[in-house]
Amino acid sequence: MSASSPERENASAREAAILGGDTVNPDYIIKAPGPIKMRTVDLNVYYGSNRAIKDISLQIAERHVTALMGPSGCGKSTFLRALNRMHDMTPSARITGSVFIGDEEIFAPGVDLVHLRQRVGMVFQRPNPFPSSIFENVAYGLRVQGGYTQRQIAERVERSLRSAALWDEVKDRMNASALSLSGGQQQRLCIARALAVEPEVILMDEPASALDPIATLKIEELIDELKQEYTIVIVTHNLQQAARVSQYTGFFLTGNLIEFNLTPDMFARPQDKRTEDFITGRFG
Amino acid sequence: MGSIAERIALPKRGQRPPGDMRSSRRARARLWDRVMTGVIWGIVIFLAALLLAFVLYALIQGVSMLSLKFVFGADTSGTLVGPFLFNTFYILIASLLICVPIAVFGAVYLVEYARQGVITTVLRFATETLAGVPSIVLALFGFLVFVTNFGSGTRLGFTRIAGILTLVILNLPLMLRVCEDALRSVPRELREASAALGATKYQTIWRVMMPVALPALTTGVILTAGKMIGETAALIYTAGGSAAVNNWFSLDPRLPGATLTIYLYELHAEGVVANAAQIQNGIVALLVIILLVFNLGLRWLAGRISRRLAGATK
Amino acid sequence: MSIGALAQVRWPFLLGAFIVLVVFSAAGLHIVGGKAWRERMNKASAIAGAAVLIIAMAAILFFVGGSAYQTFTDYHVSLPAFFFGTTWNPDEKQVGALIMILGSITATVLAIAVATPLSVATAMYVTDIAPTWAKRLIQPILELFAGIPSVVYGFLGIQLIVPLVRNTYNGIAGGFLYAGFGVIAAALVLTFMILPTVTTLSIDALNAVPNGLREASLALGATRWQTLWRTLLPAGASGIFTGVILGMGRAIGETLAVAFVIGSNPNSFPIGFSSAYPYIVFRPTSTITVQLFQDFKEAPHGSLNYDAIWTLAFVLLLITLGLVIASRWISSRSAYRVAAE
Repeated sequence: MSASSPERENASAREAAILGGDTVNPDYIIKAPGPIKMRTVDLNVYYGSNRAIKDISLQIAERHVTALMGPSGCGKSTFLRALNRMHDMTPSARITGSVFIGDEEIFAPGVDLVHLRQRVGMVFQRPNPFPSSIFENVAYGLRVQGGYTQRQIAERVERSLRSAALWDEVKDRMNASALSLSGGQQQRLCIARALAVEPEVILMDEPASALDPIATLKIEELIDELKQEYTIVIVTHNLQQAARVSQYTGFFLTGNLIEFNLTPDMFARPQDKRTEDFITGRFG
Repeated sequence: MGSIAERIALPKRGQRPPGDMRSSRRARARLWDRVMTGVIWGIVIFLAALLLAFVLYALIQGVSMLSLKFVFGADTSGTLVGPFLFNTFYILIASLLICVPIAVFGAVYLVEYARQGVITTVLRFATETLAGVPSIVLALFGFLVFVTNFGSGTRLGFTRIAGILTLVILNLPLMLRVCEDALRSVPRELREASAALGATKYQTIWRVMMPVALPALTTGVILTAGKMIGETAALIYTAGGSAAVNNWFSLDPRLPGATLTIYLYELHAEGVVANAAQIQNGIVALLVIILLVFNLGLRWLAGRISRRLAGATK
Repeated sequence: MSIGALAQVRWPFLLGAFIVLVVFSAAGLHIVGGKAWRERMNKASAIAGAAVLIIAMAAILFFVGGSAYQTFTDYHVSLPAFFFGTTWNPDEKQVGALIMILGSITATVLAIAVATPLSVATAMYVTDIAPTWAKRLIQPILELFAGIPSVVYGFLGIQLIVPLVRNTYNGIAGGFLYAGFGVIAAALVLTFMILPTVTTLSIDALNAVPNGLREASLALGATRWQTLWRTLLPAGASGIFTGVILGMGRAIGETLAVAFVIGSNPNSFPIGFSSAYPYIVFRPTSTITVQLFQDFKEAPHGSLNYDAIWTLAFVLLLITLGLVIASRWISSRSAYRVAAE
C-alpha cells in the first residue's frame, strides 16, 4: 500500500474537508435575541479521557424551539443531557464549564438536583413508561413531589394528557397498563408525564425517531403548540424535522458546535461549508 | 384532522402548593433519600462484617490444631483427619469427573441443538423439579438404591461410589444450569460471525464459544464444587462408614468414604474420641481454609484464564 | 465375586455405568458422525434425556409416596393422627408429626422474614448504590456465604448463635429459663444460609428492569431512593418474590445446620405461652428434615418408624415441589423477564 497514491490523497482530503478538524468560527454562532432561558458557557463533557463536547457556548431562547442536529455520534445527545445533569448518573463523566438557567449556575455546589429536574424535564428517545397504569404514570412526578391532594393530581393528570393530545384516546382506560399503548401513544404518555410536573424547559432527545410517520407528525404538531408555554430543546438527526419544528437550529459535529442560527437562515444560507455539506446530504 | 389547538385548548399553568412548602418537601425527600441510603450501607457493612466474624472465629478457634500431622496423618483413635480429607477430595474429584462432562454436553445440547418444543420444556421442568428435591430425600433414596438394595437381603454397605453417584444426581441440575448460563452469556454476534465465516456448528461451539464461556464455566464449576464439599446429609447415608486406617489412601471405590464434614457431625453427635471438641475446631478451621482457597484462589485463576484468552498484551 | 453375583447385587452401579456410557458415546457420535447422524441423535438425545429425568422424578415420587402410604395401610394410622398428633414415639406406635411440621414452617417463615429485607437491601445496594469497587467485593462475599458447608453453619450456630439467643432471652426474662436451642436459633442460622440465594435472585430482578425507567424517574425529579422504592422495587417484585420462594425451599430442606441447633425433641412445641413473664417460651423442638435424618439410621426396614419416615419425606417432597411450581408460575408473570427461557 503506497502512502501517496492519488486515491488515498483524495480520500483523506475529503475527510479533512468534511470533518475540518476542530476549527470553529464563533461568528457562526448567533446570540438569540429576546429573553434567554438557558445558556451554556464553554461547556465540556469528558467520558474518561474522551472529550465528547468541546467548549460549547450557546443560548436557548425562552418559549421557542431550539433544534440540535448533526450526524450520529456528534455529541448532541451528550450536550442535551448535560442540561439537566443526567450525566450525574454516569461515574466516568466529567464536566467543565457552566450551564445557566436564568441566572443560576446548575453545576454550583449545593444545587438542588431534584428541583433542577423538576424545572428542566426530559423526554427520551425510546418511550419508557413505568409498568403501572396510565394514570399513575402521569401522576408519578406529582406523587414524588408530594403535597397534592388526590383531586389536584387527577386534575393535573387530565390537563397534561390533554396537552399531550392523548386524553381522548385514553380517558376511558386510565387504569389500564401503560404498556398496552402503541409506541406513539407511549411516547405521548411520556410527554404528558413530563408536562405534569410543569417544567419550564423540556428537553427532547430524538423523541420521534422510534415512531412511525403518523405518530411523528402528531408529536411535531404537539411541539409546535407546546412552545407557547414551554421552552423546548430538541435533538434530532432528521433535517426536515429540524426545519419544520424549530425557530433556532444548532449544528453539531464531532463534539463541536459548528453553527447556530435562526432556522430559516441556517437552511437557506449555511455559513460553514460543513453545515452546507450536511444539509445537502453529503454525509450524515 | 382539525388544528391541534382546537382539539386540546392548551390551558394556563395550574395551581401548585406555595413555594416554601415545595422546597421543604424537596428537603424532606432528600433527607429520606440520605437516611435510607445510610441504612442500606449499614446493612451491607453489617453483613460483610458478620461474614468476616464467622470466618475469623472459625479460624482462630481451630488453627492451633492444624499441624501437618493432624491434617494428613491417620490413626486408629480418630484424632487425625488425613483419611477424611482424602475421602473429601476423592469423592469431589470423582463426582466432578462424571458431572462436568454430562453437564457440558447437556448444556451444549440445550443451547445449540434443542428446538423449542414440548420435549425441551418437559426436560427443563424435570431438571428444575429435581433440583428442588431436598438433599435429605435424595440421601435416603441413595441409601435405598445404592446401599441396601431396597432392603433385599444383600446389603451393599456404605461405599464411596454410592456417595459419588448420589452426589452427581444431586448436583447435576445445578451444574447443567450453570453451564447453560455460561454458554448463553456468549454474545450472539460471536456465534453469527463464526457461522458467517463458514464454520460448522461444532467448530463454532468448540473454537469460539467455549473459550469465551470458560471463565463463567469455571466459576460455576467452582461454586458447585464448593457445594459438593459441603454436602453432608447425602453422603452420611451413602458413603459414611468410618474410614479404614490402613492404606486409607487407596482408590478403591467400594470402600466406605467418610468425609471431613461427616466426621465433624459424628464428633458432634457421638463424640467418643478424646478431645473431640478440639478436633471439631480443627476440622472447621480446615474446612474454612479449603473454602477460602477454593473461592478466592480459583477465582483468581479464572481471571487469569479469561485475560489470556482475551489476548491481553501485558 | 463372580460376574453373575456382581450383576445381581450391583445392578444400580451397572445401570449407572450404562447410562454414563450411553451419554458419552452419544456425545462422541455427535462430534464424529455425519450430518444425518446428528439429526437423528438430536431427537433421540432429547427424548432419552427427558425420559431419564422423568423416570427418575417419577421413581422418586412413586417410591416415596408408595412407602408413605404404607404408614396408613400397614399400621392403620389415621391421617389426622399423623398430621395433627403431637407425640412422636414410634416404638410406642405414636407417630404424630404436627410438631415437626410446625417446627419446619416456623423456622422457615422466621428465616425468610429476616433474610428478605436484608437481601433486598443488599440487592439495591449492588445495582444502584454501590461504587464500583464495592460492587466487585459483594460477589465474592455472597459466594463465600453460599460456600460455607452446612455443618460449619451448624457448628457456628451452636457456638455463637445459641449462646446469643440464650443470653438475650434470659436477659429479658431475668433468669436462666432457656438453653437457647429451638426455632429462633434455627431461623437465624437459616437466614445466613438463604441470604445468597435471595440476594442473587433479587439482584438479577433489579438488573432486568430497563435502565430507561431509572432515567425517566430521575428526570422527573425523584431522588434515588424514591426511584428505588416507587419504581424499581415494584418492577422487580416478581423476580424478588421468586427468590423468596426459592429461599423458602432451601430453608425447609436444610438438615445438618438445623440439626445442630434445634434441640431434637419431636415432642415439644416450638413456641409456647406461659402465664409468667415473659409470656412466650421457646423450647427445643424438631423439624421434618432433622427427624428424617435422625430416625432413619435406627428404623428397621418395614417398621412403623420406617414407614412414618417415608410419610414425612413425602410431605417434605410435596412442599418443596409446590414451592418450585409456585416459583416458576410467578416468574412467568413478571413484567421484565430475568433470563430468556
